Amino acid sequence: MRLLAPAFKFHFKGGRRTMILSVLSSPALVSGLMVVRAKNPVHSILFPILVFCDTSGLLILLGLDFSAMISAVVHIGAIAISFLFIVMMFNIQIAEIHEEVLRYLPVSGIVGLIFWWEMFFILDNETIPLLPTHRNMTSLRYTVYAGKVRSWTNLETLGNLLYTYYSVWFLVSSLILLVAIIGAIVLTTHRTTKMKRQDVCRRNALDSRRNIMNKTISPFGHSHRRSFSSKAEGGESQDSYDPAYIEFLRARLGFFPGLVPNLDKLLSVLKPEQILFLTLRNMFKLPLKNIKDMIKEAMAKDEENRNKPPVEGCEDRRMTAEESQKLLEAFSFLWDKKRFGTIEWCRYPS
Amino acid sequence: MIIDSVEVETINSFSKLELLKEVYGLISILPILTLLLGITIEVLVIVWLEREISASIQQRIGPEYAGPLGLLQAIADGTKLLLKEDILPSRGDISLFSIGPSIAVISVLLSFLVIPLGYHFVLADLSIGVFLWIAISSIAPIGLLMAGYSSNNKYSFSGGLRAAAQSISYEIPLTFFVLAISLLSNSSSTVDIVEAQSKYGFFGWNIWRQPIGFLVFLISSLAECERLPFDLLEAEEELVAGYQTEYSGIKYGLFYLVSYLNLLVSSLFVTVLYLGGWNLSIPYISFFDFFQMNKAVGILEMTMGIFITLTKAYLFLFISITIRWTLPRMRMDQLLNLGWKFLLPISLGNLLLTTSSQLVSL
Repeated sequence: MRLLAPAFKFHFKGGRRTMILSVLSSPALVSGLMVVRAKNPVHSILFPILVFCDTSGLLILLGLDFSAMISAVVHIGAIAISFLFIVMMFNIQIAEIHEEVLRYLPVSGIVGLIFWWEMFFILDNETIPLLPTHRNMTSLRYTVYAGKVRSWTNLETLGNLLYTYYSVWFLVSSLILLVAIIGAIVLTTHRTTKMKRQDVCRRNALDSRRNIMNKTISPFGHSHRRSFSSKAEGGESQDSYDPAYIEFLRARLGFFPGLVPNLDKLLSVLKPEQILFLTLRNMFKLPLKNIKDMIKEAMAKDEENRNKPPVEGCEDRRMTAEESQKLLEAFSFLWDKKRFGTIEWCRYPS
Repeated sequence: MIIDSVEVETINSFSKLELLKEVYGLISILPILTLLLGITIEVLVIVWLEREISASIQQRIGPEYAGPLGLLQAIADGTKLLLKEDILPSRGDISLFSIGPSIAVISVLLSFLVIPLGYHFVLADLSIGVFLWIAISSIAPIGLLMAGYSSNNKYSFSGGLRAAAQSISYEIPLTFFVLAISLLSNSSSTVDIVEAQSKYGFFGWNIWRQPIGFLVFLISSLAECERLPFDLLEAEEELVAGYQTEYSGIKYGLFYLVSYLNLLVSSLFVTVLYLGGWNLSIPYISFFDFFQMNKAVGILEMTMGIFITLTKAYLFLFISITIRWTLPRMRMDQLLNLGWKFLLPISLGNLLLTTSSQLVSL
């Protein structure tokens, strides 16, 4: 049965393994240096990817195949990609690092010396023959145990320890990850970011009868309905079905054949603003100053609304005086004879 | 049930090469070259197959000018792309631009190492076989990011980010379902997974033991390959060609190749993990009891193994090509919603069910 097969069969002689070790470690060292020296931040995230690949290779060389794969998945597939996502969206100023590098020398020199000193705890005379340090000859030597234990795969070994003896630590690390997830979610749902949200006041102010069921009125008239929600259906009026507005429409749109007598039916399927828009489309039939008057009158209604106090709990969305002036300016091409032949005229959809 | 005997082992070329390797050293490259040749031919076949199937679905005639029945269409495409001018963006990062498609191709090609086409007929029988595929397919999004970033084009960049986001989001349900399969088969080695499905023939397939897994694996691997319905990265209307916009010539050809290679790897993995691999799945009948020959059984078995694996893989290929030409495209947020909010909890639930069933049955 191949269940208990070892990870890799090494047919190497000693020299080949050293060659592979060198081939994997030298790019790792050089890339590690280039991380710090690269001018482009994106390059300095891509070089660690080389380091991670080489580290995976070195782990395979040691016989720890599962750790190598995990290292690839976690370091390259998660950490490096996350860093890349962030760094790529920077506004990159390609840094000139040749000046002012000596500023960092005191602290970085001390840190570098400490690391260099710690290396001698690991290296010894065996690995690099010229070093003056000797390892402790009486205690256990550094052995690649993974190569000696041939009965279990790496995965089984890890599982045997991780979920039995170290299960509490495993659960603690999962709690740490949970905290990270919650932190990420909390950080990104800050209210001031421009997210599409539902406006509760507007949603509550909508009436389904008026906005949805309005369109499905029966063609026979409304004699069979017992309750109506808008004047067009025969009931009480609401905001834009203000009787003054509808009277205004009746008064001004009289020259459209057949519009005014059927205005009720039109209002049951269209909103008044839509009727206005549709009538304004045929504007070469309309004397120009009438449009300006129409719009000004509609705005005058808004004026008197402005003086009322705002409804509590909802945002105040009424136009200020400047905004209505700007709106008037924006629509002024409809009646301004100077701009008739210009390109703004062409922008009007017709 | 191991259809194995000592004769098979000595005839089977892969294990014999272990001894030859010591002598000649370089001869171990021969199976790799054979596999590369096989893969290239398969990619040509898949390209032709996609054109023909899409033509039938759209009720038109497919390729018919390049070679008989249009069989050489892929070669024609490849030649055209080879002879095109290689345009480099002037302000983009040229080294990253060139390396990007290569990284994607390398990571996909390396996944062919662990696909078994027969009992000893696998390039590398690792004890962490499927996990190698998972680990190496995590490297592909880096290539896409590099390609999108170095093109000096906002739309390419956005497409590259989306491609990487899509890839990493669908890796996770993929990994969990592969993990569930490994749990069922007590091993991560692909050979062992196929062997564990061989006991009851057709009814021993993992698709019956993990039906949700099969469906979700299909969806996730389609998303990993960036095929429809997860096609937004190459959506011609929205992003021109996403991260592939600035590429021309053979580099574009490499991206084209990556898509089909990924599809091939995914379909082969579906057969290995869910559809029983190279076993002829008539239950309780061993095909070779009918034949009395012992020496030639090895070669026949190898051929049968390859043929059966490819047939099952082409079933999945047909399904995915048909899906491509029938379903509409998903929007990016719908796609990511599906991956994170729907498939990930399903994968965890499936893992829970599998582990509890293993506990109960053991």
